[in-house]
Amino acid sequence: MNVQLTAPGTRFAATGRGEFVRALLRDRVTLSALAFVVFVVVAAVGAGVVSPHDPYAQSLLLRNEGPMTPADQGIAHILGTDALGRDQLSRLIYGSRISLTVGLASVLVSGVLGTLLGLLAGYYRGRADDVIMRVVDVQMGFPSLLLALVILYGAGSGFLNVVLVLAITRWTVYARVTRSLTLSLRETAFVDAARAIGCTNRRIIFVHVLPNLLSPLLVLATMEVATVILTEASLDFLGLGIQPPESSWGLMLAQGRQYITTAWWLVTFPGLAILLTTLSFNLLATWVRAVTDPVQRWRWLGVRQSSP
Amino acid sequence: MLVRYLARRLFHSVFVIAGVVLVVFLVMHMIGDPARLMLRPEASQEQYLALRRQLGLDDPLYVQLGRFLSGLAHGEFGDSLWQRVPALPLVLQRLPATLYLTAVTVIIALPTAVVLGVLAALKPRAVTDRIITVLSLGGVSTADFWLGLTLILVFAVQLDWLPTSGYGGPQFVILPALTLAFRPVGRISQLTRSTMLDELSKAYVTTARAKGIPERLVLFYHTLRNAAIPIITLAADEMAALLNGAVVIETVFAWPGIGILLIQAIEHRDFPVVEAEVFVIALMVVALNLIVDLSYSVIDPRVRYS
Amino acid sequence: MESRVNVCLSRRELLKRTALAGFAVVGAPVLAACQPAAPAPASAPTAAPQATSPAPAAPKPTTAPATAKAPAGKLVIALSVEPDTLENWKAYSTDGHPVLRNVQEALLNRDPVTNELVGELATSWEQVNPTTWRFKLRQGVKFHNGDPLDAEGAAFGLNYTWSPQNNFEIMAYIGPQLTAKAVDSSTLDVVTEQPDPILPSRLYFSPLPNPAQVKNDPKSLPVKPIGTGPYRFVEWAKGQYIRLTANPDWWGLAAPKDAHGEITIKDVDFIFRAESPVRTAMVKAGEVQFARFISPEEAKTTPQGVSAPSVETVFLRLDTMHTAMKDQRVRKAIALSIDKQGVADKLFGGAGRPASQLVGPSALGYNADLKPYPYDMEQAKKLVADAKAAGVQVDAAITCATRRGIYLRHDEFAEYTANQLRTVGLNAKSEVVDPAAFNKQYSMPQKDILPTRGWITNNPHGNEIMDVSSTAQSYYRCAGAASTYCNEQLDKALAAALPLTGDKRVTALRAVTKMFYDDYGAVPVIHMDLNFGLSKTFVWKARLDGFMLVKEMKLQ
Repeated sequence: MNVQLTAPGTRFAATGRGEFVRALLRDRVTLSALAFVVFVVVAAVGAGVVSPHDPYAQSLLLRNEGPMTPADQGIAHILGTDALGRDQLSRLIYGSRISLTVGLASVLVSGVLGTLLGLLAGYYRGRADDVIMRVVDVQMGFPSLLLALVILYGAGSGFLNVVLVLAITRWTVYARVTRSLTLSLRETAFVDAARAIGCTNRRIIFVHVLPNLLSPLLVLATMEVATVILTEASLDFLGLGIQPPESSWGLMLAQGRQYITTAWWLVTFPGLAILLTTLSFNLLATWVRAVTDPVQRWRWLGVRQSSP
Repeated sequence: MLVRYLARRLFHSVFVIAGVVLVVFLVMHMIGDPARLMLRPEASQEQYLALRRQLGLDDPLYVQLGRFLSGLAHGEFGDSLWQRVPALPLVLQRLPATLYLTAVTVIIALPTAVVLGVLAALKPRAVTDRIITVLSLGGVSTADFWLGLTLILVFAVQLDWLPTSGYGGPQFVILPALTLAFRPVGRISQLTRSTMLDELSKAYVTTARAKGIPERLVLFYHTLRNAAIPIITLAADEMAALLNGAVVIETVFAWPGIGILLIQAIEHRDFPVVEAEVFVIALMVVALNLIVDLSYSVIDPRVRYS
Repeated sequence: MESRVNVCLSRRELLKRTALAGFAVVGAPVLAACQPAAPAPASAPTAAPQATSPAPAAPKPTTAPATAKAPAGKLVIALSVEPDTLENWKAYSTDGHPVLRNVQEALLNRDPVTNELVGELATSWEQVNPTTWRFKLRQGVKFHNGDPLDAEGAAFGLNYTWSPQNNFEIMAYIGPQLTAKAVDSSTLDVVTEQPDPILPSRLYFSPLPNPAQVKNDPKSLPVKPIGTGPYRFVEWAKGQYIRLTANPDWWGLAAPKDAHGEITIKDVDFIFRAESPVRTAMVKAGEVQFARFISPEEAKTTPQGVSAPSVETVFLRLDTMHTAMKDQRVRKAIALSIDKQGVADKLFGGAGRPASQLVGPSALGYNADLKPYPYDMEQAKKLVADAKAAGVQVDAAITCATRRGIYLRHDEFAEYTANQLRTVGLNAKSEVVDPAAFNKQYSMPQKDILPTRGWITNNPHGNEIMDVSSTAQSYYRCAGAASTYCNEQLDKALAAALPLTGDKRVTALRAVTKMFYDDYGAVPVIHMDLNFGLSKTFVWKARLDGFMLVKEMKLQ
């Protein structure tokens, strides 16, 4: 997702690859963000190898035991156990698969859809604008829970339907932000100039307008990952999301909610996982955006001499 | 020009609202019926059928739709099936609480977010930028019910400064508004930071600074004004979400807004209440979006209405 | 000791005021602009207990309860759900009875200690023939609007509540229909079509409405109940609170022996907090004196946590027409695979006891000879293997379905059940189902249920009538509205038992219960306790039926 939105590859050409690596190594905050993302992705991909316990193995006797409780066999339950005595760390590791996929997939779908429609509405104005923006109005006035229920009734709960619900409820924000920026951009001199030399509308939209939107859209999209993962939690809370025994961070958060005062680790660790992961994604995205921006780049790459 | 634009938008709005309400009517009738929910599971089939008859659910859908539309023409949505009093007043009764909470949240969130975003954009990568970024992203990524309950436990139970929950004066609104403000502060401040960075690198800022215009004026008048369009769009989006009812926060703090009412009505399949409430929400959203669209041309005169 | 308490209180007060003052300086001008239109009553409910709850502690260090005293003080009760309507026929429901049972009264009530039926608005009652019960009404009872209660009005009220035209939900709850007529001004006959030996148990759920209000002002019924009870309705701010105040004209003041309680508390507020951590926090912060339906773990953190037995029994209802579950060995394997004691102790935090049948010991016809099905995974695995060897399709899909939000930890229990069943070799998964979709499946007539559905639902079943017959008619019979079990012999035995009374009834119903038990018709799991959080000063004993009668409560 990040790569796709920020890779007008031409921008990289001016600077060598080594500079990026060196800049990254100097920047401890971004480096730790990258390390955490790599850590989470590796854990998600290799869940079967890295989890210390079977994430589905229940034990009533181990219900809601705190962190570092010794296990019947193998290493201790480092992050404690859940209400059915399952190892919390292993469930977090397995849950990351669903949470990351749901988060990234819904953001990708809603982001592409919303941006395209926003571009059309803002650039062509007139009837396209009217229709698209009135659909946005309808969507925003329509309760999202109702939408989730309808899809659930029509298609049943499950992973794909969760992505569908989240994508449909979240595309409007991209459409509106994109449109609002496009409205201004289409009146600028460089768009006039492009039009004057006979560029096609499609070329103007994708070559002249879209790159100028990328920076705010990227910021929005990376923040949406957090929103989407948390919205998934509220679907789970209503029983409309991921069905147990499968797990996601959102589901763990929703299930741990009733124990917030009596077993703090049940909401704290999934909450932290969501927080740290989305934070890392955002910091990385900020960095990528900055080092690919010709105006800001010097500051982040540390090329002080060349600064104005 | 503007008058014609407004007339056209108002004309469209009628369709939007009618569309939303119609879709909701159809959708509600597709997802199960309230009679089953009203009765104990042990109720017999005969009792269930009798109740359906009584509620008018037996009639073909087009008859029910006709009844609904003729009621709508008189501004009536019928009685709540569960609460057995007219539905629209039930919704309107709760509107002040939602507007109150939305207003306080926006008043807290918007200035905070913009100031934080501008501060962060001034010196990207500096310590203030990093702190603001981490805090605002933290606000975006924190589960609201967790935040709300934690605030209750700290400020109401441990410190005993504020009431745990309930509706009323300033001491009641502060915790729910604070909880709600986290997400918009995070999102808007990050977007402000990013658009401000784009703007600050443009030639007119350099020109303004070179001309000796005070930095404060450059930032908050010249630059922010040009960065305002996406900020306002996002702020309106957050506000629309609040006007839809902050379900989780209303539940945690027992704030008698429209969010809880809607969720319960959907759960209960209380058709008249859902329809009345969606109608009210659609009105507010359409009005909000119209105001936002109008504000674009005020901020950026290049945007014209056609 | 005393002075220390005072110091502590005043410091807390000081802090609170400082914080508020600070906020007022900063935020008041802004907030004043966006205050809702009617803040005066709005800020009262929770602000009031804040102001008053420290107050009674301070001026009353020495209590002198010997003399008869006027009701004083304010009680705030936190409920989880706001009632939908305050109509009298809704008084059977969990959300309706806390308020309604204090405002309106029925002909009968139950003694809080012995659980026997006792007179409330009736002073005596007898069965004059198999289909008629005769009630003598209490004299000198007045409604809150001043109307006297007579047999004519009582009959009108009962006929309104149980009318087939109105078809109120109470009919489906504890039907069938009945008709009442006045014999003279203080005598009332209640007639049923079929002989009904347990009619008094049903009438105990049916408070009397005010006849004049029903006739002249029906629109006010849902929002403004009028009754004869110890508390009169004052105000309902929807979404916020329902307020009651002591009724100085209550008949019980003149007849303390019959009253089964006394009015010691003047004002009562019911408030609604959906989140149990919030209800718990409110007790701890001293904002409420009583929080209902919190978890057993949370109850332990309140000043006075109470776990009290209820009439609810959690059980697994099996689709006995299912490809695999129609085999008795498979049903027995399911019964053996649930660790009832472990579930009670761990999953439900000790708030429950293993159950052997769908009703508790309080119900007439409870069979004390039956023991909970044992927990034996090895035998369960063997039974499944045997069934498989005998050609039963044990891999037919089973869904451990549960209705979202139906009771505490239902979702965890469904997941647990599915896991246990997978372990013994069945093909089970769990699913939390939306209430509307769930009820549609749950109440489906038995003949319509397909052998492929394979639902195992975990439900609490409440036998409020305290007589096995109602449970048996719903769940054991082929034609039972919520039954997934069919056994013609049992049906015959039950039909024969229904009109019986006395010891014969007990024996016959116990036999029916045993037939169901022996065939593994369902899997009883635990008798559930309900958990309450109480403030230090609050004196109350939980009732088996869950009613919350303020006349049985005291603030010290």
